[in-house]
Amino acid sequence: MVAICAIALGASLVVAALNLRYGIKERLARELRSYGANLVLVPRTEPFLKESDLVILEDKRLKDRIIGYAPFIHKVAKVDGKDVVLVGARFSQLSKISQWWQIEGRWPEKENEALIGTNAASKLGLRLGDRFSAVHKISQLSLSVTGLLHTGGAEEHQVLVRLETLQRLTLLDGFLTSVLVSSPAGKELEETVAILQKAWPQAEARTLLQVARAEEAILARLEIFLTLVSLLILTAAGLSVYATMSTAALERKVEMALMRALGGEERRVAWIFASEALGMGLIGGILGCAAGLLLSEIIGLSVFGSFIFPSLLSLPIGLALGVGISLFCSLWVVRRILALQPAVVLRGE
Amino acid sequence: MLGCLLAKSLWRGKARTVLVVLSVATASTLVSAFLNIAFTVTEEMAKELRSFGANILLVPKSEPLEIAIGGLRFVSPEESAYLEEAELPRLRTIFWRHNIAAFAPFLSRMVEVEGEQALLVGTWFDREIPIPEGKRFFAFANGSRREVAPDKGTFHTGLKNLSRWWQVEGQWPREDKDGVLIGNELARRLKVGINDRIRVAVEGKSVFLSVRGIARTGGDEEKQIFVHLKLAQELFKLPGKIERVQVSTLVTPDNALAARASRIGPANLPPEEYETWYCTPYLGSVIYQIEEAIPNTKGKAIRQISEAEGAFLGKMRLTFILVVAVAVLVALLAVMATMVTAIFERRQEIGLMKALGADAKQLGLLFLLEAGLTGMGGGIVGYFGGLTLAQLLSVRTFSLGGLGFSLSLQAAIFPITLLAAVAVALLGSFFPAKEAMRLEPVKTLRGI
Repeated sequence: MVAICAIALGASLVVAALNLRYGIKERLARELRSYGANLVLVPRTEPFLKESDLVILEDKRLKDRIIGYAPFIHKVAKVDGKDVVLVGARFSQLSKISQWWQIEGRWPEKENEALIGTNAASKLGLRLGDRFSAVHKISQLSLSVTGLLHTGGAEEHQVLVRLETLQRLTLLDGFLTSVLVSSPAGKELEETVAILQKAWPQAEARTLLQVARAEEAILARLEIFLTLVSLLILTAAGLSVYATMSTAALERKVEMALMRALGGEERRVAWIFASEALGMGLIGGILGCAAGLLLSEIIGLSVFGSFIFPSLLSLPIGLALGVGISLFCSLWVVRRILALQPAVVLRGE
Repeated sequence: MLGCLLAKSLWRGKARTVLVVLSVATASTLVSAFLNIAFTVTEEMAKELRSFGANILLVPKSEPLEIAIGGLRFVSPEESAYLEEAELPRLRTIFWRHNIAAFAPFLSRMVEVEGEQALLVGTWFDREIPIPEGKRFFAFANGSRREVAPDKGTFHTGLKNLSRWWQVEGQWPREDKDGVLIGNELARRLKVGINDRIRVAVEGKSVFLSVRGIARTGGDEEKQIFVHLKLAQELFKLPGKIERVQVSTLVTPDNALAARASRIGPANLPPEEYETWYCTPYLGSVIYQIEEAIPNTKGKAIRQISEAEGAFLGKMRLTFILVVAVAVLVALLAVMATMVTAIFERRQEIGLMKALGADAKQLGLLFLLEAGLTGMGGGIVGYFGGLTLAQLLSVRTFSLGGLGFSLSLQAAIFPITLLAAVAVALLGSFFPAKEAMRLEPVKTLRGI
């Protein structure tokens, strides 16, 4: 019983460690995506991209590789007689890839609402709820401020409105100046760039190196680190199972000697104990796998607030470790005991 | 008598003693290695992250409204505001100066390059700056003053140190020679290569500069050209002026105190909290100290970098703590199991001693002392093993040449490791020893 518990414990720790080893990396990679987009699509030769081409990004091949994207149009317009950069964006998509933005007020929802950078707001003398008009050539637009934007970047100098609103103002219906794309980091990123390049030849896909390099470096480090930690846990778990199994086998020294004394062949006796160990290993291993999965999900939940995807590799390894170590230990100990004279053992010396 | 017994029993079961010590040592190696790593890994990660861009932007208090579009940037002349280049070294005089990893000033204007409009940016590429000397004090809210040891020598900084993700083909321009670093896209459009000469026209005046490097970043920098700051200042007739400074600082992720300080303003914090806040390298407090040191400056957190970093490091820390907790637990269990085996093997010995008249107290003392001794031995071996292991792990993981060992940290880890080792050894032998003592001596001696 104790032995089964020990095996289960060891196996569960191994399963949990392996799950975390793979799961955490994926989760942290997602976490890193909050750094913002790591790819940008800009027009290659023409001045604009076509909005209708965005369906390319919804294509089956690319869909899995893209976590989020946001199309933009940038134009300079006059507000209050001053030139300001107006940015047209789809807010629902934008908010997903720019989680670090701090907004005082709320995201715009309606047609004539605008998000305005803090510096632009102070220079234009605008506050939350104010109305203003933007002029581009001969067209004009009346907007109201629903939110002030703090980012520490260029956005603080801009006025953000809905994509269609700006397209209408500048008479550029269906055109875009850039698309920001957030895609899984690492090796996959290069593949994504290649696929994008082929699928959308009018656009040039560029890797934002600052973000991409940071991600790569961190993920590589993380991987090494987690591998080493898993190895250590594996060793420790193996040791603990070994110790328990040896105890269990030692306890039955007398039994074994008795079997031998009654004429049991060394092989057969060993076989009986080995099959017992095998059974225990299986039961413990299965229990341990279940417990390990639970453990890794608990850790995943408490750290990331969501489940981590269990790695398929972890279960067979956990099971194999349980069975393997229990078999190995019991055979090792049994052999040592069988080498002794039954008479000596039975006399209790 | 007891000592004699103890020594005898440890010596006679040499193999067993070694096994137990080894297993305790393994466990405490894990404990000490993980403690070392858990305390330093987030710091290492933070350092690693810092090589990927500035997290603070300094601008003049009356920051002008800029029109930046497609890599170009316009500011109306009457709105322009500047900082003084001469004041920059003061960045290295603030309380958290050692946390400032790099910084670089910028001054930019639209120019014509070979007939095309482009943004010319003046900056420091790679500079050794002297650090201002003199005694400095920091006054705290409760009136106490702390003297800060002055730094001597120079500080190495500039764009090259700040933006390590830039891929530069050719060379970075030198500080003393007029060369330019040109963005990849602009270079392609102008069809210029390394060592070509380009004509740059500013306000009717034109100069010829040679291209020393081509930069690839993926961002707007690809459409700009970079020269050393002095040259830009001469071209724009703005001697000694800069427009903005990017600063890369090592900071700790924000917690409740930092959030409160940014909500109500640091001046409104209670004095002790203010002091804690001031003496912790939060992004907010570093910005506050920079604003104190350089007049007429506004510091802005570059949120894209700082927030993601903070969130990431927070998650990392939590993950490591959990992983470490699990690992330590496993190690301790392994030791307990070994101890149980060791005691179990000695059932007969216990029975014999009992039969010879030893009472439970004496026996308990003997076994616990033995366990304590082996635990201590294993703990000491394990502590140093762990130290080596942590060093190895961190060298493998971070290419930083190992951890910096702080004595205060070691002073905490050593006793914890030792305590854990002894406690586990004691705990591991307590239950089986008790069990063994409950048995009838006759039965154990007969081997049933």
